[in-house]
Amino acid sequence: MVVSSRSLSKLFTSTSRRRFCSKAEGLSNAEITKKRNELFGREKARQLALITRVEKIEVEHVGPPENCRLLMNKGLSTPFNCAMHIQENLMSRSVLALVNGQPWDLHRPLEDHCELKFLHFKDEDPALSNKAFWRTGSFLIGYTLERVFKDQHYVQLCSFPRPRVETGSFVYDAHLGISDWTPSQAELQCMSRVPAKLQFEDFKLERLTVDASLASKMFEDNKFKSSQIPFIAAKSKTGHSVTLYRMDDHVDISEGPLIASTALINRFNITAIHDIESEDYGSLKRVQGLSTPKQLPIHFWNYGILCERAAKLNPAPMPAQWNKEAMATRNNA
Amino acid sequence: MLRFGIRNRPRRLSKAMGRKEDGHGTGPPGRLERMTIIVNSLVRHERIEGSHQYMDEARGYTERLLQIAAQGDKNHEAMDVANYWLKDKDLIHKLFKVLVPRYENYTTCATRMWTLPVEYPGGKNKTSILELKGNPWPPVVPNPRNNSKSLINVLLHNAKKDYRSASKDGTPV
Amino acid sequence: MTNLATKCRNVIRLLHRHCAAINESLFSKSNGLHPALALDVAAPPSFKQQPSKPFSLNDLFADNIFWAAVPKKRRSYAKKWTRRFGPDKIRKFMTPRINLVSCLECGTWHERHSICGSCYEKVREETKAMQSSMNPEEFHYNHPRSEVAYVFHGEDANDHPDKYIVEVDKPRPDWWPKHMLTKGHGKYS
Repeated sequence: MVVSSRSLSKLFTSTSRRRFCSKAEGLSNAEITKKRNELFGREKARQLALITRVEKIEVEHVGPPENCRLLMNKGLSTPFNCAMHIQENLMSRSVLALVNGQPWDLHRPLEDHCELKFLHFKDEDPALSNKAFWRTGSFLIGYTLERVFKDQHYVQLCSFPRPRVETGSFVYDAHLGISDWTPSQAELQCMSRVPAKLQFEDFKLERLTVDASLASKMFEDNKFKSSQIPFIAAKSKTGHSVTLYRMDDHVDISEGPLIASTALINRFNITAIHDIESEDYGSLKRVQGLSTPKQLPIHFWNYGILCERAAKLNPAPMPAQWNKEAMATRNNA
Repeated sequence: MLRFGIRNRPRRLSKAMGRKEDGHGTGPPGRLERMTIIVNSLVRHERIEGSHQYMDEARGYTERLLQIAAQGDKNHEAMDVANYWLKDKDLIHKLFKVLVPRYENYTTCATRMWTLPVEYPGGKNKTSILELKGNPWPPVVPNPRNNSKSLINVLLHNAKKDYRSASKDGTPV
Repeated sequence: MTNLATKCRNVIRLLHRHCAAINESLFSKSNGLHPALALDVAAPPSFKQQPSKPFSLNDLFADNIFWAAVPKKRRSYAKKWTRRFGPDKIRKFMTPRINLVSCLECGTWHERHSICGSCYEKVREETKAMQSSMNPEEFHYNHPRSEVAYVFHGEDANDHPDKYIVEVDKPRPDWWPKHMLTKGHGKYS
């Protein structure tokens, strides 16, 4: 069914929003999070149970400290497990893995014989690590927004744009159930405490590929996500799968690789919340943040300057709904 | 004016100062004798390794020697100083004919020091490498890293760019 | 030393009144002083004047050993154990070393302020090989009076005019930085 953008925008304008507000149904942010987490856990266990026979794959590790060949389990062993066999340093500093030249999450199981390389922030060309870190920053803003308002306001996360480190901040566009709110510095600082504490917890970011139907069920309370899921699924290899990531009990949709664990993060600040107008989704809030990794220390004064820059409106494009025309042009391009 | 920092007092270098058989030290002359040996060695080999304290002391003397020698070999004082500091007389030729022209246009100092690693568990004397810049040997760090693409550097670089373009336009930064 | 002798004499006078006689055979009397405690200065005249005197408390107390430092109190086991196994000794090994980094090229661990030993090892060997390729007589006794250029296998000596050429009997290692092999176009290169 082709949905025109005009009717979509009607769906999401403030007047009609009340019809779809889950608060009316009685579900709070915490309950929704719990539900999603349960569904994720169940699906993960189900997918694990599908592997009845353990097959072995040969993994060739290339890079310091030594080139070696490992015999790992197909569909079960992750690059992190390979690092456990090689050196503790690789475990603690690795951000991503390169499996046959493709960026791969550190906790994503390996599927076939491959060549493995570990990436960290101090590589000669850390572009992939930087992008993954920026993407994770956006993901963590989503985590923050779903927790920090507790049950007072119903938060509906919309989407986040592709990561661009040069802009100086990462972004999540969301519909916070608050009108007429300019956050003060103190409020932003309070909000920042939630993700800032994550550096002391070693929460792994787990990846799971699920069927679009399950994803729709998980995100049925979120009108933005549930409208996006069909298009995301259509873009996938199989045509009907959606990639989900879970950290602690927060689940979200994301395409690219995220960093291995929250222990890699050093500082995290929510720097600003701007009002934006999206054609398709109506008025939203653009929540911006800044973070630096533990492997790259930075002086607080420099970090302050970067925070000031991160508070300026990020020039990323407005969140837009894909329609069949846009998809066609994208596929042809 | 030397182009790097030196200590305002000479190190005592007890091992150099206590060299005679009768148990007495040689004192400051003994220290200077050791310094001349190191400077001589450095001018010949252009890269030497040794105890950090001795290398650091010798570094100042080498720089000063090169500075004085820059006055030219016709200069009486320069030749005297070179004669004292370089025990091997063929090195005096090298000093005036090779090293002085080499460092003529240098805006930085002529020597460089590196710290060598100490084997576990440590507690031993730090050893260092002292080398003259422009030596023909392979560099101590063959492939120094270029960190311009690291996350912090990218963020700071873009912040700088923003600041400069904003201050040019006159917009408030 | 004269000052010390004076002080000794004053104390001896004081003790003379209080000490019992001590067996003089314990001490040989060459010049009134024990050979092991011979001072590297001329003995004070007052001592030399009495070489054949059988015994005197002066001689006894002139010996340095009586002025040696001596423990006043028995060291308690607490103090003893604290000294041997206490924080000052253990702290060095109990505190985690946070200044250790893994070399990004080869993975060897070293302190942050130092260079990687294994990466430098190959540089050191190469330097030695290059140094030994020059005539040792020349290198150690008659150093060339112009800049030296080391020419490896497959390189042209004509690339280095006005330099003393030394031919090295091996190919240039492939880890040699490329920027050092290209000719610069700057003012001074």
